Amino acid sequence: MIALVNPVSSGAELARAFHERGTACVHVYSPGVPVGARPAGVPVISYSDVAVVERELRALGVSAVVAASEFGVLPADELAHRLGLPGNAYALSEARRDKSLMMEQLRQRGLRATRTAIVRTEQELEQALAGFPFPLVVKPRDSAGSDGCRVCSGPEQARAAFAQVIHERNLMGRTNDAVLVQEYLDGPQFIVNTVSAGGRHTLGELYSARIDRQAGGAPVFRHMTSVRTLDGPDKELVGYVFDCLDALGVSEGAAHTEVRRTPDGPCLVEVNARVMGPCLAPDAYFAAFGYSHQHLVVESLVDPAVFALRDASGYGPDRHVAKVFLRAHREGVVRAVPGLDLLRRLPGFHSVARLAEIGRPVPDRLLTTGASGIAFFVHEDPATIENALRVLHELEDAGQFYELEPVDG
Amino acid sequence: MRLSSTTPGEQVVIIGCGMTGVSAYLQLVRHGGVRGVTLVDPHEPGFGPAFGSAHVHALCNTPAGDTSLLPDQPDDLCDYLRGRGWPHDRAAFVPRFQAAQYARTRFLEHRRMAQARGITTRHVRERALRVAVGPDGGYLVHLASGGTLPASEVLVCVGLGEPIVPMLMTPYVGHPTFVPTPYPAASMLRAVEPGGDVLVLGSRLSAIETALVLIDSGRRVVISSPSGELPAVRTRLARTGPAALLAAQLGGLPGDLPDAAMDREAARLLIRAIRRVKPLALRRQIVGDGDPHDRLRRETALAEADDAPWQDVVAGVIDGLNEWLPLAGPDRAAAFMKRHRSLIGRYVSAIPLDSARRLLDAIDRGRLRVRTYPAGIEPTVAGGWTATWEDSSRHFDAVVAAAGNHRLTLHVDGDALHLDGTSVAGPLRPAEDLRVMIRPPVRERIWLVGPTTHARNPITNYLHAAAGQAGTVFVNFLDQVGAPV
Ligand SMILES: Cc1cc2nc3c(=O)[nH]c(=O)nc-3n(C[C@H](O)[C@H](O)[C@H](O)COP(=O)(O)OP(=O)(O)OC[C@H]3O[C@@H](n4cnc5c(N)ncnc54)[C@H](O)[C@@H]3O)c2cc1C
Repeated sequence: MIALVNPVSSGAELARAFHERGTACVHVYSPGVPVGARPAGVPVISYSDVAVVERELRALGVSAVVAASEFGVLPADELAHRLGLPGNAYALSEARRDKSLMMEQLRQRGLRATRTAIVRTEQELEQALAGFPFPLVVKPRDSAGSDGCRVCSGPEQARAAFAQVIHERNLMGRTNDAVLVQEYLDGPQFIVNTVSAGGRHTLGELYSARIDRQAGGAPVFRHMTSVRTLDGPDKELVGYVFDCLDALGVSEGAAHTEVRRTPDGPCLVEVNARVMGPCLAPDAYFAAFGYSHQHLVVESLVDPAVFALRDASGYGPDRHVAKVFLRAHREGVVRAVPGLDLLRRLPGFHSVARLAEIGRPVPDRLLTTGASGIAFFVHEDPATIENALRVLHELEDAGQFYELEPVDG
Repeated sequence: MRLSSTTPGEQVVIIGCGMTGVSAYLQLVRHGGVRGVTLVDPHEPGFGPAFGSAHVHALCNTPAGDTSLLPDQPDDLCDYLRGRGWPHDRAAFVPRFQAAQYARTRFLEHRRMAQARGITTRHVRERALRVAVGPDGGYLVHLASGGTLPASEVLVCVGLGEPIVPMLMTPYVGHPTFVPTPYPAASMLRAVEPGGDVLVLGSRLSAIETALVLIDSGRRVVISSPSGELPAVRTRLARTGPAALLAAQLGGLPGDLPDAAMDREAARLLIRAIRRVKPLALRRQIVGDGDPHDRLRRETALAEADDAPWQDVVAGVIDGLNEWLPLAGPDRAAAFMKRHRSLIGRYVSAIPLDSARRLLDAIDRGRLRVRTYPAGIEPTVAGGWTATWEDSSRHFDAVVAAAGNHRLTLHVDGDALHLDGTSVAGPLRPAEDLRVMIRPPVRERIWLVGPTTHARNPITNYLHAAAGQAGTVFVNFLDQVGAPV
């Protein structure tokens, strides 16, 4: 029996992958997390007292605890620790959630880390601004999906960004009581998805990302495209990520790591000790890799001997996959999706998921939640995918993917 | 026995892999009889700049049925479009990105075909600087990185040169709101917010397309060129029937006519050809002068009524002049083109009807005007521009140059063909089989294909001509190689 903690967001796909395989699971919800949908027959525990749930899980004979979303990371660590089951280093649990502790931990281990300051008041902000070169990044201490994140080119912009997020409610449903001021990492962003078992890390997916910057400094995640063969700098980058995982005590299960390749080597943006989100519709990943991030997690727990073979055979998928965060060019109510035919006819198109609903406002227009649609491309030729994505993005930016209600109507 | 690079067909190097280079590659692989092909281009094959715009409203100026990489399969682009479910019509002007994706798809298919036939294909992601005669009689292609590639044959398919920066704007290159090329559209749009005013310099197809992209995304535009004229309006470009006849007639004219007789004969054949399509007086099918907005409106109406029979012979003018003018010699051919430049420009590169309608709509909504060049353009302190005409001046938030591209000045110097740099000797003129002479009278196994042959074939700046050239090149050199394998 496997306990999936807070299986919401991409965790629902993880739960489905266990279910397909016929693995017995229990869905565990920590206090305050609303119970999500689940396959029929799967038991659910929504707890308020951790000691009680510990007893219940023991009684069920749970053999592994899996963080099944960003919300599940801390509670899963605690439960695995209490149950004495394999898990990520418990003492470093906070460092896997809190971005400033995360960087501190890397620094202690002698790894390149992003300079970070925690700021709670305007006064602290001024102190931090005095010590950082511009541009710099201002973002909530504890959120996700690019929520509230701003790249600021001067102090005015930084003050405005701070004022906009402090004491506001964030995407995780919590109030921002602190804001991070971080060194801006100059260079392309990569995403490294891994699954670890017994302290050994297996590379599942490597992606390069296109992130645009809005006029106000908000980063806008446009797409990510997988890398098929690793060259020297890619190997250096993956090696650095494995070192970061070690430094942060990640030894079991999925991790989704964002990292930038700067002129002085790779540098961590953040480690997330869970499967990648949002939207893990597995088919596109299978078409390119022969597996998905969540299916690797399942395999590592259910069939460890088979999973171990992957380390020996190494990384080398057959095709490229690209995941695109579809966007509307402005806020507004969706009237139709006229660009869909074009999208579906582009070479390499695989599938589209979670389109914005017609008749409702475009949700999360600039965030990385995937709420206004995700498109997948799969092809053996990266140049074909790259060209198709350029066409798609120009269509979106010209306001011809989503048709919105007129501004005054 | 190990073959050296002097053995014909052993190592063909194609420099430049836009549509032209891919067309050459496809035809080479289909013919067979070569051992290896090396493609040299910093871009990915098939994704050259001419068809590189990703914008859905950047349309081909040749119809789908006339934009094939394979001269013997004119419907190849149509076949590709059908295969992907794109609605299309042979006569329609499809988005250029579709043509580029078609080229990439065919390139990948032929790379597999090459492999199956034992032909190795290699892509070197670099610029070539020159092609030198090698010590053993083969060639060495010198790369920007300092490396060299041995070649038994070289096909030079390098397309057009850099974008033209109009003289008015040369002092302002690097200014943040001066956009020296409209491609890619996304970077151009970053230079000016929606609602802003943009001055577009140029009035040919790329300026028109640029204006439409800007207007679609909420900007106001003034299109401005020295003539202040827009091209004519057309609904199609036909190559068969009257066009083919005119091509044959023009191509059959003697090369030694005096200048005045050249003009007279060409005009006579042209008018006869148009009359054969539809007996409509010229002044009833073209609007000779007047205010550009009014002219556009009237020519759009003519195209809508199918009262523009001139369009059915335009392709014949292109093909016919390409045949005939080389016979007159380079100077007289150039002089002929100069005498008729504005006429040829206006009708050969006419506006597709759909774009013309969108331009009119923009004019009616007060979002577009067409003017001659301003007398001056000055940057303002606020980061914008003031353009001054004789009677008025106007503020712009950005200036975009969309005045086309320079022609490349290839030249021979010492024992090499140089692809970069400047030449004092004027444009390089290949022999009639398009081979280059480095050691006259020897014709090297180096061919020019596409727009760089303009000193011989005046209107090669379109795929049909370039693909046709690539085809004849192969007949020529593969005969030396022997029977296809
Ligand atoms: C905006 C625009 C629109 C056009 N639309 C049409 C159309 O609709 N229909 C039509 O038939 N024609 C069109 N043309 C005309 C076009 O120029 C011709 O069709 C031309 O033959 C296109 O292909 P190309 O490969 O010659 O040129 P390009 O696409 O310019 O490709 C040339 C390639 O050569 C490479 N190259 C250049 N120099 C070097 C070097 N030294 N070393 C290595 N590589 C090098 C470049 O990187 C590039 O990839 C258009 C041209 C432009 C500029």
